[in-house]
Amino acid sequence: MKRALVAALILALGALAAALPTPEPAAGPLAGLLIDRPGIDSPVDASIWYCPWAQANAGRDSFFGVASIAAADAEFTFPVAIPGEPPDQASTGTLGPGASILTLSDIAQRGDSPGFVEFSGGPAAASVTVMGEVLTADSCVSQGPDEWFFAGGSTLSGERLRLRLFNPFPETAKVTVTGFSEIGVEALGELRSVSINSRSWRDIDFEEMLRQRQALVISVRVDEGLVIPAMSYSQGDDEAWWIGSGLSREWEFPIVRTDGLENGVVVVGNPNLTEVIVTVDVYTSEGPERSAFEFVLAPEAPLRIDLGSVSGGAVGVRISATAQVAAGVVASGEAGTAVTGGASAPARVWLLPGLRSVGLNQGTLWLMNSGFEQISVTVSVLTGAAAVNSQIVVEPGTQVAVPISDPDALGVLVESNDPFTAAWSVEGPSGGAFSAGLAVIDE
Amino acid sequence: MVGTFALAGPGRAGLPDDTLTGTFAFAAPPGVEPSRVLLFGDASTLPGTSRDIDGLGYRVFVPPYPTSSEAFLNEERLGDQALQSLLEDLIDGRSRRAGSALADFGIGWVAFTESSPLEALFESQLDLVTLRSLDFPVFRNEAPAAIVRSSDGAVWLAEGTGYSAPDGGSTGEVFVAANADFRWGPGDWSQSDWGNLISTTGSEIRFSAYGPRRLAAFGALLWLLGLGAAFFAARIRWNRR
Repeated sequence: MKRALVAALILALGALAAALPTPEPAAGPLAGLLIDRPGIDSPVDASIWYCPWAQANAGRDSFFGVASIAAADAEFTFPVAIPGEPPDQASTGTLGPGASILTLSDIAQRGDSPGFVEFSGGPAAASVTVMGEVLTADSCVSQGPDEWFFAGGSTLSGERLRLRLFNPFPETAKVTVTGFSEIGVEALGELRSVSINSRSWRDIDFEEMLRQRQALVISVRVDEGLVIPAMSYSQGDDEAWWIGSGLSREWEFPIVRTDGLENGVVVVGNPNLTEVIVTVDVYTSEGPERSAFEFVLAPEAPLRIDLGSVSGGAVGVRISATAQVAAGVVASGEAGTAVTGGASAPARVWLLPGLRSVGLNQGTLWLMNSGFEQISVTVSVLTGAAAVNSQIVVEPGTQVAVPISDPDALGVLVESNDPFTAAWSVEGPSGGAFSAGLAVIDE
Repeated sequence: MVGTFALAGPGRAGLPDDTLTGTFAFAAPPGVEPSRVLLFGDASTLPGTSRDIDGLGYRVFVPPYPTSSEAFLNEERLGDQALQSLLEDLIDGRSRRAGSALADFGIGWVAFTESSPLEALFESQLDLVTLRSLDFPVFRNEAPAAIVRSSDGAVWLAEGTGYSAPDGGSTGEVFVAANADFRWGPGDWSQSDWGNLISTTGSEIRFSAYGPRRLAAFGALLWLLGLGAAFFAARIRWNRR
């Protein structure tokens, strides 16, 4: 009896053990942790800004404008495209909030000197203005998409379009460059898997490769490593540099044309395989003209929207599309040539480093309120010392110009309780330039 | 007896295969004071004990290979926590200059025993260079890294449990990239963040022994000798009779 009980117990335990479910396999390393391959993004309070078009030679010099909301040190690094050669370095600091300027020729004078700026605090931002033979400016970039788009270039007679691929990282990078224009998708097979050496840069000229294109949209997709692309467009004696952007359903451009850059054109590129309906709202100091234009944009095609039919002087626009598109503005006139990208969304705080008036170059802040309510914007002119504040009211659906006359200005911080967009322009004897503002995003 | 021989049979007394001899020789070239290697991998592939970050093992050792004295890691202290925190920041994408941050820990190399998604984080740093010629993932730190460095920039040389100044001598305070511990000396010791700062006029610093434990060790040795003497003395007398 006792043996039978023991045997039964053993059998019961065996059956119970057999009925137990198979245990889950042990978690592997980094289980549940998503590690995306990092892009060029950096933390807001220790951001890195990449500026691919800085240059200093006998005829030109570059001015790095840095601005920060919190006190910060800014460390500049200019790689030398010779293997083993140490980079040139410099530093400056800002108050919180404050701005500062660094002149490239004080550090390096060897022509092209793409570089980057590392901030110890923030939010902060940087821009580069090139003065001398030409006048060009745009914001540097601290984050970017996997695929960059440049809408706004053309290669008609007398024009030059050049793409710069800057690789500040110690790994060789590879990118694929594609494009489409008014004649369709361009055959750019030789620009597949273009290699860019570490801590170096490479320029690609399009005026020979893609002759006589009126509206080109170029895209740069990173295959390996990390690259920061920028585009240069020359027309006449002036030159414009601008940084690429991603895709968005909405784009706001607080400035498309000015009195000196009176021929303003918005270029929209549709990289999708389906048609896109594009609606354009126009804003002037007088008020809005919502849905002023509407277009159906064919797949993989660009669209040039000439604003010549819009009366008045300065104009800002808002683009909305039924799918994600690329967009940029090109302006030309007696002042020169300007190209820049837009803002994919309004924001409450904007930094505009490098916005100033120096010598005969007049800097202007542009604010645009595409909303339906009046907003009050605090404009803080940032200097090396205290900020100088003023209040500007922007009526709904209008665009406002704020000339920067303070001789100590090195940048501008603009804030409001409601979203709006900001950009800046500079015009002088040697040319004109537009620069997108840099939205400060709450983390 | 059977168990002992079974372990000794393969020739390694039950210890895992030697996979690291010569592997990190590149990180300790002759005539250069080596900096540390930060090695990631499955815990079973790492030498000795290891720590882990999100399930992935890691440990630090001085090349060309970890010695027996490095086999067991100490309990986590300030420096270990600071390194863990730095690695977490890296995973969160809060660093583009990991090399510079790792150099503070005397880490001149980052390596993986096997492929890992973490490699992507190190590949996108401004100051870490991938070494393609090796058959496992290795990154060289471009920022100068030293385990012990004086304020004039001279790298001190390992010597037993201490470090000595290089031939040309060096001056100023000496930073030791190790968990803060007042037993570093001689000279005035102060804590510098998680590490050690020593003001010394001499050319040598060392980690002093812990007195009570040293006495206890000597006591245990004497006790063992005493037991042996008592055991064998009795037998020797017996045999003589």
